[in-house]
Amino acid sequence: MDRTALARIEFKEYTLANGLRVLFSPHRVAPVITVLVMYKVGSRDEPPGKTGFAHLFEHMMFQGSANVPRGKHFEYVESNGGVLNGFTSYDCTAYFELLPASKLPLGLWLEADRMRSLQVSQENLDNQRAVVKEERRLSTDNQPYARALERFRELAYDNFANQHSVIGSMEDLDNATLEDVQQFFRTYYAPNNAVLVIAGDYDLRRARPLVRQLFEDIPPQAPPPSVDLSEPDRAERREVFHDPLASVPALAFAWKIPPRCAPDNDALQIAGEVLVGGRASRLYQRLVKQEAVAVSLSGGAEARPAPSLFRLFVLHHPDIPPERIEQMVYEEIARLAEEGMTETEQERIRTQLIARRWSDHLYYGLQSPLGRALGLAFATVFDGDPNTINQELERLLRIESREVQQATQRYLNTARNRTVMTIIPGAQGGLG
Amino acid sequence: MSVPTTPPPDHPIGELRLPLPEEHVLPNRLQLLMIPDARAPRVELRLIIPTAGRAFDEESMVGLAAATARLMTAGTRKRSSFQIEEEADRYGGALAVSANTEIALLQAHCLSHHLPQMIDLVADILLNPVFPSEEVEIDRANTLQRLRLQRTQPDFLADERLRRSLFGTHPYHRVAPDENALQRWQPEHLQAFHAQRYRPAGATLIVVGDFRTTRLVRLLETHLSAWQGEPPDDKLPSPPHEPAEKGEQFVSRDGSVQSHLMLGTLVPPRSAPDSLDLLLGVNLLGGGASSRLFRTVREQYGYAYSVNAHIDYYRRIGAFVAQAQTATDNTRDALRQILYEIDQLTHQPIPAHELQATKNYLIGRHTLGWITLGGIADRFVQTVVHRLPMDYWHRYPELVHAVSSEAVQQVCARYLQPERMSIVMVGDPGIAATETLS
Repeated sequence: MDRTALARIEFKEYTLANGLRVLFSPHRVAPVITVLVMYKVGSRDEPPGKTGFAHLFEHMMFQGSANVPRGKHFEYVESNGGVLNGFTSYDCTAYFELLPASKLPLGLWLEADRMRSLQVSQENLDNQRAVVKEERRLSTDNQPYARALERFRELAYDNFANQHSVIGSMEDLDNATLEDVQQFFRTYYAPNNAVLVIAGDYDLRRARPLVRQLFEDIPPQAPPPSVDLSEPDRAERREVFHDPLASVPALAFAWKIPPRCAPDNDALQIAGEVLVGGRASRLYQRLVKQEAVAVSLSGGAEARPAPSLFRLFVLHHPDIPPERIEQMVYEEIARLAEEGMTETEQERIRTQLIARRWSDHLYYGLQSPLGRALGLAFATVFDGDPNTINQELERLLRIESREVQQATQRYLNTARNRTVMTIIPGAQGGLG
Repeated sequence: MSVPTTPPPDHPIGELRLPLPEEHVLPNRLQLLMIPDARAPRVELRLIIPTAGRAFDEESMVGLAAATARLMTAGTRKRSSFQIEEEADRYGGALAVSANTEIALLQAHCLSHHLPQMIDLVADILLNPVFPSEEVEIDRANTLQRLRLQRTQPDFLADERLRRSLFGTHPYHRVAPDENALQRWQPEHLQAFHAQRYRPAGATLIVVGDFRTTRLVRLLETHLSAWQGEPPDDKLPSPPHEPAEKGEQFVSRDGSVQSHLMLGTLVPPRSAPDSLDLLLGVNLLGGGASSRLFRTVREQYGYAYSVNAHIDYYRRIGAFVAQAQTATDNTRDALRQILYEIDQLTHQPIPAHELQATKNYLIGRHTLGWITLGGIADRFVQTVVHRLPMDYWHRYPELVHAVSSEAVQQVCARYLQPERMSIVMVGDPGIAATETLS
């Protein structure tokens, strides 16, 4: 059998009268189902002064709806043997439950109730505002490198919609009102701005009428305003960041690249694998092994449905001047632009891309119903077409060395649209 | 159409049909547990080396076990470190060895049609690692920098301090290499550690995925026939049963805007008869988003984003841990609330519906562990490490359902009294000068 054919996600699509797209992807391995709702709204939709709101709002979705009082959402799911979560990104917000297969009606009912009727109070808002501020401290303000990387994104992009962090600023969080919450719900949390995916061990014939019963009469809303995500070309931008919480120096690089599914973004996904994809990658071998200047590195091409970044983060030895590392990074990029990848590299990367589809992660890959549901939801919300989840692998496997060379030359082997941040540590990381 | 005001009816939770591993012992006495499962074209391997974890390091060489594990993949007599990485990638897989407190664990996976090659690679790193001196030097320098980085991370600092408070000088306290030892070890030390401890007798290989058992046994017999011997029969000293330091311990971290709170005490191990009773109590306290700590510390008071309680299991002891990260100014209030909830658990009867909800939660999470091949393999790692009966996970739902409220309360009252807690606070130096008023 064709090695990619196995890695397809089968699904049936159905759109309700109110515009809600529903994807059914039954798959019987473990007796578990996922109900996932993804809304097409993220931090990119936040105007200046409202940073962090999309994420704060995500918290409010757990605070009560017409028939599910505050706190009951968690209790319903967990006392029925399920787990749940939600997440907010630059470009989407998603909510999901993983439940024992027999609990599909519960998962659907919970999602329908809060799509229909958010019911929150000032007290809930103040409580979740405090929780989110702790989340910001935990993920950003109290961690080494995290403030630097937040600032780095602002520097790498030019458009406010792309620049600001998902967690947002403390000041903007303080300014969020209950009216903002209600307005946001009306504008973005409409069935015609969402996709519902049901994956796992269930019977389509039973699920379909239930979905209609619970979701079809939720009224649609006017399409939300679209947001300009375009990024201008610009010259290189550099900054030095003093991080009082970090103890090891670091360098961050980014180049602006085209959005996901664009042929050059695909080619740069492969360039990312050649340069920083694992320990056999060129930059790892050069910086960590041959030259022994770096402690670790990570990066690659983002695949946002918007101008994206090719990123690289290098933690390096204190006695190595950052300029030396920079030089080596640029040399490896130039070499890729000039020579392309070897056949061995190409084979290695292709096999890894196929294998990764079978990842063991609960959130990613085909083994888990949640991985299947998320793959379908991203494709639908980001590309407007769930089929792209199945086309993606075929597209990437077709990329030739020449295309990687050209995209690397055009987007990476240049100071244009490049951002470089030198992170100077201020802490000792006290030993002994 | 009418909208129901309560969840639509469903069926009872169906039974999870779990496989029992096929057991086999190779001529070199390596124990083999095999679960063929074709849900994905992939195979997961877990090799448990039972006496090669951090606790088995000599006092003068703390960190050597972890370095030996990390550097098993740094070169063999036949392959360079690059070749090992590159091959594992080409098999659609990954291969790494790590040391935790007690065991060393080799973890690998690959696309199923590459299994013979992956086994050849695994056998090579098990039998022929050379610990090349240039790789040892790179690892030494990078480990030192990683350690400096870890010492700026609140969670690492809290964990390091709590383990010291719980275990005192017992080797279970070790979470990182000793900096002086790190400067000292040479390839021959790693070679000796490997030669002594990475032996097949007493080790267990778990294989889960798309393969045929007879073929796998043949492959392993061929590739591992030269792997022989048994590790020394040295036992760790008995772990303490009471924390070495109870009460509050402070770790100053300049520039902190949040305190990392970690409370812990020592409890019975996984294999103890009352371990499930306690596990239910701890999950009721801090296991999920409907647990008491989450409901109060987070949802009622907004003191923390993340607050939870769990048990870390070692072979001969368990460590109860509750933790939260809270704004510096809220440190005392958050700590008081956590202690209050622990105190309630030890003194008040447990409502039947709350216990039932917690049972369902634990059984549900148990089910999720069986979704992926790696999840299944990891379950059996626990079975082996904690010497549980082979059908433990099959009986798990039944065992959980059998626990009574009284049993939970009794075991919580016995082990979780606030007076038995070590309390670690990592954060602004000023918190050391404050006190928790009750």
